[in-house]
Amino acid sequence: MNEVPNRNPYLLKKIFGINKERILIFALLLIPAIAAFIGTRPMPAQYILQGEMHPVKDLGVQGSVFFASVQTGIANNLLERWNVYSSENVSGGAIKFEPIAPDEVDSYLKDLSETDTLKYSAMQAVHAATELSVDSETGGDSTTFSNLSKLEDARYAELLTHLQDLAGNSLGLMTGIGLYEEANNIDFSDGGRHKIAGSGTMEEYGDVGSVGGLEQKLLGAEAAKVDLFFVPADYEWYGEEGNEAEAARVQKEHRLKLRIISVETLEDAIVYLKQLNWEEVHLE
Amino acid sequence: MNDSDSKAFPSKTAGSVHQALLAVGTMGEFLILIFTLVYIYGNDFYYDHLYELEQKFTVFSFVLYYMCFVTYLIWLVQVHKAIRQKHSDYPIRTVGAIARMIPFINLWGFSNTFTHIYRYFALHPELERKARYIQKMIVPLYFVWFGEGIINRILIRHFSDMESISMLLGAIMQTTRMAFFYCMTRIIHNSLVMLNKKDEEGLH
Repeated sequence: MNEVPNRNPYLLKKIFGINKERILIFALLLIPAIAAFIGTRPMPAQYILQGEMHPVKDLGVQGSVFFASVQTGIANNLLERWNVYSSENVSGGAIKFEPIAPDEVDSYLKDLSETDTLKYSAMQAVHAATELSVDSETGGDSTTFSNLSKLEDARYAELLTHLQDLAGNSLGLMTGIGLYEEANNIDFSDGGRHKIAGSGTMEEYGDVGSVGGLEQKLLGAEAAKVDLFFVPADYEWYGEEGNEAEAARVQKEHRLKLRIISVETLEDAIVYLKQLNWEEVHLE
Repeated sequence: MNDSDSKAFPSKTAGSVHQALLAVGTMGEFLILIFTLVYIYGNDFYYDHLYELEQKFTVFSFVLYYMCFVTYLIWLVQVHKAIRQKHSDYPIRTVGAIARMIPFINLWGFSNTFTHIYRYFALHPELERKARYIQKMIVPLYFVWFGEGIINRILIRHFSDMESISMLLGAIMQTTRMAFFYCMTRIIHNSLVMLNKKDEEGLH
């Protein structure tokens, strides 16, 4: 009968030089290796930081209102997300990450740098504010088309010089309000006693269009002690996905104290501001 | 390693593991230092070829750094166990060794711990040279342990255009810190190995 050969307990050690310590070291080194793999795995997401309020005066407009802006960008993986968190020193709802498909990153970055929609929104703001101002000054009497057009062109050209470092088109509505204040020598803030801000694009016929990053803009507005914030009235078009519903949701979730007003047109916003009783706003 | 080894020499496994992790950590930090240099002097090349690789090393080194901190504490406990096994009158107990590493207490505890260790090694003629190395490393260790943050703050506060120098300095400090801890661990570990061998030879 053949004898079963004895198993040499040190065989593995002799052949591969493997011992308990090396296995332990290898196992421990797997932890940072796995972390590195997970942390740098492509997971592109658009980030939106808490909004900031900028006076329309920054755009050379002699108005008292503010437009909300957000800083956005792309974080390609978890490490970059962490870098955004740590470099911007933000927390909680102040920053939002929205995953995007890897093949959409390039087009997203291209969109970020385009300025056509910004110029369009600014142009429509000038147009709508000029038309409203002419109406209020003349009561709708005839002002020649060419005069109006020259006035608009000159104001738009001046406004363009202040838009060099900006992107996005959400400043249209507030720029329109500011231009109206400028043209009619009105101060809706009552000497800076009330803080009015908002976000919305300006489209043809003075219509207000939807914007992105509204949650962060509202949180930024609350932090900046804004009293009144205009948002696009888009429930009819987008339902629960639109800005109007989002604003209501954010206000409820974060218990925001500011008053949120949804408007369909620049005229709606102007009419609202003209009849506004500030005591009611501050009593809320 | 076998059971009799670990009984006679409690810090052997922890020392070897800690040493190996520190060695890998030092290499990782050194590579990050190289990447930082390329970032400063060849920005385009860095973003074209090294950015993604550096991200991997950054996460790897970051996690490894904290793992080293844990293995350091385990090793330190085992070192004190090993020393007290040979010299029951050694003044630092294992709990005391950990207590000395608590933030703020470690300002004093760091030097106190290593001072006692080098004094203990200095009692053995064959370890005198190693004891002197440990003694000489205590002050530089403080410098690399606490200096980075202080220097960075000074640079950023007073020289806003010093970001790249601050980055480079940070990478140098981190590499040096890892290398110093590796050397310190190696010296202490090897000293204990020598003592253990000597004891074994004496027994035989």
